[in-house]
Amino acid sequence: MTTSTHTNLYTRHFLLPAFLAIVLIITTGTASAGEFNQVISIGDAMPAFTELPGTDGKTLSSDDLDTDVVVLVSLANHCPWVRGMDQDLVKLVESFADKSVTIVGFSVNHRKDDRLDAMRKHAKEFGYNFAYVFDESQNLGRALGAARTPEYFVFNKERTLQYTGALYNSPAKMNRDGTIKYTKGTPSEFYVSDAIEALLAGQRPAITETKAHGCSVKYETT
Amino acid sequence: MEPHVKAHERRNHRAGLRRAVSLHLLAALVTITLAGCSPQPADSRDTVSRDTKLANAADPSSANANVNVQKTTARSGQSTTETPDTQMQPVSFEQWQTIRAATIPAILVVDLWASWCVPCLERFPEMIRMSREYRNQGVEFVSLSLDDRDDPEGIAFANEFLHKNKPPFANYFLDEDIIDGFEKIGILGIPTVDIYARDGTRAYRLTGDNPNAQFTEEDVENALTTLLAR
Repeated sequence: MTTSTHTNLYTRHFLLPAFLAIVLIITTGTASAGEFNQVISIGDAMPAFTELPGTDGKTLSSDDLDTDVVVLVSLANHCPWVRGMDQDLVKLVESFADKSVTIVGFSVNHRKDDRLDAMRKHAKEFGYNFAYVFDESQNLGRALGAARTPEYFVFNKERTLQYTGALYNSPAKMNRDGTIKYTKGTPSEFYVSDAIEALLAGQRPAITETKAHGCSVKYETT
Repeated sequence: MEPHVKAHERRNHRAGLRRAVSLHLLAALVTITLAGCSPQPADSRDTVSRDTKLANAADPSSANANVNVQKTTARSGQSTTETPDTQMQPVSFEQWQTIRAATIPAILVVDLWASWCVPCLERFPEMIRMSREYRNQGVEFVSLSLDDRDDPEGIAFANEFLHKNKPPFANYFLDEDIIDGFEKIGILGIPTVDIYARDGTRAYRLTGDNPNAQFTEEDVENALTTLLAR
């Protein structure tokens, strides 16, 4: 057997399958970033936003945010999944009140009950303890790929995305009778809280992306 | 292998082949394992044997005996749905697959919705309009609700909504845990419209998952035009 024959066999029977296996591992491995979000991936920069009007009568820009961690969460007043998890969002904000963390809710839908007037009422009714702004241009929502409410986006000090998805592993929905149901029982994995803790500790979140079940955000056709 | 090849070269060759076979098996294993991690079920996983499904649908002793499978003229593929009940019929995911398969060889449009999904309610009249427009062209429409089975008021609202809107097609309710229902269907959110070709394979999945490319009714009609031309 000549050396070239050996090389051909080696290439055909060893290198090619090994190469294919590596390609499969690499391509599937990277799919974890942006696996569920079709626009933004882990490591992407936080989209800039300017003077979004808030329920507190002030405006908010991305340049105003100077904490170590920034969390953006898409919300919709009318959405039973938002209403079901509102109390836990308020608790999340409380739990990081003395830390360098800013949590900002934003509403994207143009329907009347999701616009600023309704946002003010909703924020009061549900005791919102964080900035709640109206993304009327829908530019922030589009740039984040925010397709669902509630959907969380956690950014580090460098303002790159470190986690996106659900609040925890048992999405809660408010039923029509006003009761709240955790769809998978008591939550046991707190994705957003864990991601924030990890970033404050100078580490990367162990889980970077989950499915954000909830209401669909409606984007206006241009 | 040429006769003058030395024994150790033959041994090396056999060892190389064994190594190659092992690597092929490894690659295949990796492929199967990783494919199994995909959150979106492949169409082949979503579609079982047509004959099996039709047999099950027709089998009164099967789990589907209580399910009112829509009638379809097999040869023409034209819908013969008769006065569908506007009340949602609860079905398991397995029953749903059988119902869907029984519509072959019609083109099937599935409107995935729920009473808690306001955009779903808003666009439902368009589904009714399209179902009337395409009903004589071999296109079936059905709705599948992903309401929460533990929310009786929500289900009552959905039934009342259907009663008011009177869709001329069958309406089902996925009787599963709500999150499991999404997982089994393989979707992240609703509204979603699935469109199946005449052979029962899913040809289109129209979603709102990408804010920059959310589907419209025009997308549904374009998909139907394409499938009808095949």
